[in-house]
Amino acid sequence: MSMRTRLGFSVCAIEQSLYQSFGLGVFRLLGEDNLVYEHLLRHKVDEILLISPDIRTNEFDKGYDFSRLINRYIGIPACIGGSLTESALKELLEWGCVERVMFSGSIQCKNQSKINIVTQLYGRQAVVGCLALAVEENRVWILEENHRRYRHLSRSDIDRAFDLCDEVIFQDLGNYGKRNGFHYDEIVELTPYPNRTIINGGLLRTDLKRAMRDGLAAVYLDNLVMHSES
Amino acid sequence: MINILNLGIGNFNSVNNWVKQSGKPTKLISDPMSYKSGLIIIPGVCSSATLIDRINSKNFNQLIGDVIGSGEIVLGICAGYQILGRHTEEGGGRECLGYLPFDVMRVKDNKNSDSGCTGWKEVCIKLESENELVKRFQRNNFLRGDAYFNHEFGALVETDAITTTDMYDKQEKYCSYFVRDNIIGFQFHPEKSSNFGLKLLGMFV
Repeated sequence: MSMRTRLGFSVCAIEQSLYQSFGLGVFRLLGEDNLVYEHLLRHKVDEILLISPDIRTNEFDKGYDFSRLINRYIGIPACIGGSLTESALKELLEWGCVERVMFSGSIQCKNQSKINIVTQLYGRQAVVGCLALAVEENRVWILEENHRRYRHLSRSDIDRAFDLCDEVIFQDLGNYGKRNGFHYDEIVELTPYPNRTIINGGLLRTDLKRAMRDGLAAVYLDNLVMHSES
Repeated sequence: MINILNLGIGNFNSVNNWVKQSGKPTKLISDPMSYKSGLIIIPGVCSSATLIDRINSKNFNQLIGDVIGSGEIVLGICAGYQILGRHTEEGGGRECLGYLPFDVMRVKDNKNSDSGCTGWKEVCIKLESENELVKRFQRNNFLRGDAYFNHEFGALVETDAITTTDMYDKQEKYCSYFVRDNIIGFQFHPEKSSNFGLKLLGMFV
């Protein structure tokens, strides 16, 4: 069935507040989580991605308390991800308040037990992958699982992500938080499944129009409608 | 009272928060013995194989049958809808409850490849005027809006079977909703369908 391109929003969730992320380790406070949810719902966002960032890579020592979602009505799909241990993931799934789970590092590592847990209990439609990418001299690089270095993105990285996940976010990390434009030509041409592809990072209105024309699954607008860093 | 099954999987709390918007009292039930009266909702966001296993192991299959027999409404959402059919091929295959005339199969696209369905699509719901729900609630029998879908398996309805339903909307032969007497099934997620979901809440709850 043909679906329209969804307009989503990704936010970093830390303690009780939501932040906008600018690359790795730089955050701007959006506000208390409940107020931000209301704001996004008022603007008819199609979905929301809540990322609790890896606490090893930033100044915060606490992730987000996802149990805050248990009593909160959010009338759009909520996807969560980031730094979940296997036990935390199992606990979270039992709370019955999320629809999808996003994996970034896990889709690169050999141990896929966390992805398997979600697939077995929730089905593969609940699994979203994220490829954190950078484009340099027309070549596309992927940030390694340990966040220490980039390596060339290979076809097998992409195939593996689509095998494991229902949809895959192609994140332009080099433009994340900026309004420089998404590396659309370099990145989108790599996907074998446009209708299962989500793009995020540095988007301009021209990128949004192209994504809708090309039938991408979703775009995460982020800096296009909120702050951006020069 | 609106009862929502809590089988330890799926988005039962999201469904609970959605139903609370109606102002009606809700109750999460994880044991059939705690059911007293009222409508039952079977939430989704899970594998239909895992869901039917848990329903059977906790004896909710008996309760669902009793509630349907009593004339109370049973509403299944996504996998909760799928397990009201005859059989699911998910998870290696399982027999289901058999209240609705369909089998649950992996969704295929036009090239016969596996194809998930994630996103928003317009759904048009029509209730026939003689439907029991219309008589009971005297509510609107027509509703149109954008609904959120997220599934890889779907309720595959035989063409003849569709004509026996009170209302239907089909994607190829996959049935996005199904109402028969006091049994309602939504393949989409009304609890995550924003304004349309809230309007549906008014129609059925």
